[in-house]
Amino acid sequence: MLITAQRVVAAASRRHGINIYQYLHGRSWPGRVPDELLPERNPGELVHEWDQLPGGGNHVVSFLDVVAPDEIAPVDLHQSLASLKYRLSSVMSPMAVYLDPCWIRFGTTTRVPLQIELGALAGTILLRLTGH
Amino acid sequence: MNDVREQQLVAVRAIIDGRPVRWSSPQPGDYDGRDRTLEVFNADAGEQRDLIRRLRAVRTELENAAGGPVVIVFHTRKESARLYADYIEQALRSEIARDVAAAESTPFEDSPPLATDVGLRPGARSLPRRVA
Repeated sequence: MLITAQRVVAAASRRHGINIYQYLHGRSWPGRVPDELLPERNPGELVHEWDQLPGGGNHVVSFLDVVAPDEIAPVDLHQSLASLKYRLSSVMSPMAVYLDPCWIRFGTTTRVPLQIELGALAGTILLRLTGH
Repeated sequence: MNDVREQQLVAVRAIIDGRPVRWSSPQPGDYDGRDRTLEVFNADAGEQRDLIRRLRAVRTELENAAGGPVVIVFHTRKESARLYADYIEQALRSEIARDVAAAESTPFEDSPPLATDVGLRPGARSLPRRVA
């Protein structure tokens, strides 16, 4: 699966929010995330979307892409998201890393400190996945 | 819970990658040392040795905060989810809430766009953004 969080700013109204998208790949894999399932090659099929701001034409000012096995246990996914800012000892923007069993990509142009913005995007994914 | 014990939990949480952690609550007739017991959740057997190694770095501070030798109890992911699901969800949400709130206090309006977002329909097989 691919879960993407995007912090977006409306070009006209300057309203902002974090939109979350969940895709499924429909297949599993052993070990490292295969190249053919990275977002530009194959994001999967969009199955859920949680919008704070209707998508389309907004400026994306930060994003977090997380690729994980479709069948990852919720507890593992939730803990991986909460752990992200700790497990990435040096956060950069942009960055893309393999962090078993996931692949992570992060970018931002906001003034929020990198580790906090990473935590905020991962945290918002976690909140949406748990129904908040 | 006093401030020193709470501060140690913050430090420990960072060391163990944001896993839920708490001081155990004493019960009547309990074993000697329950009040010096640290419970670490979402820690599978294969991870516990590494976590113990990491916690050695703050052992003295933990013992000072606890008032004596510290007992560490690990709960696996399976048992954490089975027996402590409500606590785990609440703890992970608390963990990420600080970052979400901190990021929201920063203005985003002047952040340069990394991309433009794209409105998607369910079942879409493309990313929700195009590079600016």
